Amino acid sequence: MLAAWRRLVAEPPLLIAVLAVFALLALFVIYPILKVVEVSLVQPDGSWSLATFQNLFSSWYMRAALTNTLVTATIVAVLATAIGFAFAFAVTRTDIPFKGLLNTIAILPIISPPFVWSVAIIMLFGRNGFVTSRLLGLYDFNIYGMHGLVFAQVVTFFPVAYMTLKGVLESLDNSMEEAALDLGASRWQVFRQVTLPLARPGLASAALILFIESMADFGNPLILSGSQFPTLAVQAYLQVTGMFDLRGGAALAVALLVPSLVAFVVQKYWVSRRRYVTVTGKPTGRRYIAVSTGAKAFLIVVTGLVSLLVISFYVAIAVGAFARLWGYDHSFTWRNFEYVFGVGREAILDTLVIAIGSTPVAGILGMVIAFLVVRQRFPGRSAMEFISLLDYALPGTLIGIGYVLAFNTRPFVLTGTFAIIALHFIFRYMPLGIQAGVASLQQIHPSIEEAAINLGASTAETFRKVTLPLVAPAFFSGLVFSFVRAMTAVSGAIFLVSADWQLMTVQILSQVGSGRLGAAAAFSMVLLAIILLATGTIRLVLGRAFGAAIQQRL
Amino acid sequence: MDIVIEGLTKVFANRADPSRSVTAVNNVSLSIAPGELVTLLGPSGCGKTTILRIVAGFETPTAGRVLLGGKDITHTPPNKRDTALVFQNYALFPHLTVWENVMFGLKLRKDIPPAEQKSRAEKVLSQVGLSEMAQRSPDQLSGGQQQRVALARAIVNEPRVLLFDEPLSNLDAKLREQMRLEIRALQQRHGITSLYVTHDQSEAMAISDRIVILKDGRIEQSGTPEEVYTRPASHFVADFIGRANFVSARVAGAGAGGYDLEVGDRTVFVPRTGEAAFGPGDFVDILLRPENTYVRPRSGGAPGQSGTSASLEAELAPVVDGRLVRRSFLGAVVEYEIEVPGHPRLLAEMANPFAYGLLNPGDEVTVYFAPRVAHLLRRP
Ligand SMILES: Nc1ncnc2c1ncn2[C@@H]1O[C@H](COP(=O)(O)OP(=O)(O)OP(=O)(O)O)[C@@H](O)[C@H]1O
Ligand SMILES: [Mg+2]
Repeated sequence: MLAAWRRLVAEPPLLIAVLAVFALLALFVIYPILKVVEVSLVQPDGSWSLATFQNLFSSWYMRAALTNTLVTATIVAVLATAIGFAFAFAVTRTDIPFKGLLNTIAILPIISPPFVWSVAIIMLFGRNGFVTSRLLGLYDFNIYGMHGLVFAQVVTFFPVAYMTLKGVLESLDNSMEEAALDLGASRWQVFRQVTLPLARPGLASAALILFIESMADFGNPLILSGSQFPTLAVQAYLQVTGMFDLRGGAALAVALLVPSLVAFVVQKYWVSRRRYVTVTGKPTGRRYIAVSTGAKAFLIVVTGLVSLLVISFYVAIAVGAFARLWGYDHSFTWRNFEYVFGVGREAILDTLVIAIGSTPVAGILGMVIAFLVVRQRFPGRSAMEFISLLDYALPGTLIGIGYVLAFNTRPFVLTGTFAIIALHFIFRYMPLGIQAGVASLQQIHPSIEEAAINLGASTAETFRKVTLPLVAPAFFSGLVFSFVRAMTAVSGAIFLVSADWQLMTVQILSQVGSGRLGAAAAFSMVLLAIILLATGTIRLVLGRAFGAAIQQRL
Repeated sequence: MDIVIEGLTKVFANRADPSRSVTAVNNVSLSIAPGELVTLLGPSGCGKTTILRIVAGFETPTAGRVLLGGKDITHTPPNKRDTALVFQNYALFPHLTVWENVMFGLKLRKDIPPAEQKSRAEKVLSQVGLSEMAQRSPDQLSGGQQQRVALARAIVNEPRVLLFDEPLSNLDAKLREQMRLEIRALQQRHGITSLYVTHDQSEAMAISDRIVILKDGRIEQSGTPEEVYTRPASHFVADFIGRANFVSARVAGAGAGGYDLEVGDRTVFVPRTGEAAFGPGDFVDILLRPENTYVRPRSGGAPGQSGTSASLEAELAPVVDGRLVRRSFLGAVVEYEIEVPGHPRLLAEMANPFAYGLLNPGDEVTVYFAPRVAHLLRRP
């Protein structure tokens, strides 16, 4: 410990970097969170107590919000993990047709704003829903409430589980399943006794991540919960913006914080440690397709239905964007787009400026932190890693309220500025860069850098000519992800927007709120188009610069 | 239980580009007697693993059949076959202990009472020397111990056929030699018919009753280790099993006992070996193993200098003249490389080098051999 301090002092650049990062994290991550906790505990007379919580949760409505949020998150975590697993299993372990399509469909929702599905669900299953009223003739079907929310969240979040579990199943050497089969196990027994137990840490990890995502989700519950089904994130927002009760909002955010934090810590420090190491390397590289016809049929039905749903959502959004009045008059019109590019032009430009301004900073800061955490030894290293990931793991509502509370008084008066939204995005999406950076740095064995130095390169040359090109793909893929997330963020940002700085996502929500589904759909289309265009361009440009290897990683 | 493989062919079709389809196994027929251990040996990509996986049931052949004890099992799924495969990477279950790994197959069987399952597992674990480690998880074992668990897990079910896919390739050289003896001992003790894949020829020689040499999906030769070593059917086999010198010659005369061969301006008599028959005028290659290649100084190199018994000494015949270009001292043996004009270089390996004095690079030498141990191959 002492030696570590001494080394740090002996290397001024390192010391400065570490101190600077800690200062930034303290100010823009820890301070806002503590501020929320403080406000929730300090009473108007200056005393500290739990009175705010007691008051809030003495109302059945708020108690319902708490249980609703937890119950929904649990159900969504289980269902979406199951669907994600079905997709991952189908893609990695079977020979069903259209695997490429399945993969695309399971990834697409990740680059869509997290609540467009709610818009689509209302279009298809709402009061004048195409499916409910047109196809099924159900005129009193009510999509609002828990079932609607669960429906939307499962479709929104199962891709996250899919990505995790696909990675897990791909890295699970197929020869273990072959060995079990060879020892006489039936295909079902192989699945139950080998595949499933080996995937269990991955499943637990995916479920915990989804639990966090569902708890933190703001857009879907705002659109789909209705007044009969309160949830914490929405109530916190209404408390702050509707009732101007920052204290109550803070208390609700804290109620949201505790389970998320617990889930995050369990996921990061317990579940992910329980990964099974495959005992020896050299996988056989062969695939024996061990699924029965029944299982295959089951997987085709499940993945097919979900895919159909996802596709129909996209179609609904696209049709809705060009329809005169969804549900009544589907004749073609540009009106919605005229509206978007007229009234909404400010929001589009602001969103782009903020996303483009914040993602490079998030990427570079993420790389620096990744480099410090992986390659350097200094006191507080694991604390740095933990704190820097916090903003991504905790609900945006909490962080948004935290920024409002922390930066509306001297010396930091940032409310209503570009800076507050940009800072929020930087620290919230920097973890994506950190994760990408950590993963790639861990793969670059230090001996590669040592070899360069051994061949006569200086430290700076080594970094420029060896380390940088090797981590560049990770850096840019982190960048692409942060950009997408910044473009689609809403839960925290909604507290920070102002008349001067608008966001498209917030606009979409308000269009839905005032019943203009067509405009919301058009807005969503524009947002999606920007994201596809931007990620496509980045891939193309980087592919030119770094060769094909990078394109696969983006 | 005997295994019969009949006309096995496996084509990995490439639908997009049929010209790039791979014929991994090409019309292979083979039978393995009960209790026999047969090794499939060949260079990388010759189809060894594919044959093994077809026997295990993980691959369906394009043509041909596999019979186990006379019963056609070509289309029986792998879990219904009485075969046990020892994987190259062991494929131990990381979420189970050593004990649970070994019990995995037994527990699936309803016909064995639990008490007997337990005693069987205990017995097998003690046979492989792992009784103490039953409660460990596989990642707490060394490579050799993991290999033993894989072996125990395969034999505890008392399968009728054991299949090995390069089971020792992840171990270091010493351990490899020890484990192959252990595998052989266990296999013989249980009398389990076995098919063993390797591309290590010394491993194949040490462990097998019979070796099947494959090339490009076809059988080149099949025979006991001695047969394939001393009487290889082709240049490929001669080269693949051990090291080989080929001395080109022309058949001058063929008699009942052997052939008179012209080598340069010398004539040597080589007795008949193997199946092939040659007539006068045929071009052949004399296969000289390095240990049957003797080097003497050309000038007055009287026999008697070599490390041979008097009776073998009398048999040695000179065959070509050349110049020594390399000497490598390896301890127990010394290796010489001899340049012969108009010939590939020859390799000679002399045992007990210090008893006879070492030759030096640049020396003019004559190469001798014992015709009785030589083997003739038709020049391709
Ligand atoms: N699934 C497959 N699809 C296409 N070609 C394949 C497939 N599996 C094997 N092959 C090809 O079949 C041939 C034989 O492969 P096989 O694995 O049986 O060789 P091997 O003798 O076991 O080689 P090694 O010693 O390297 O393990 C190779 O050319 C290989 O590329
Ligand atoms: Mg092989």
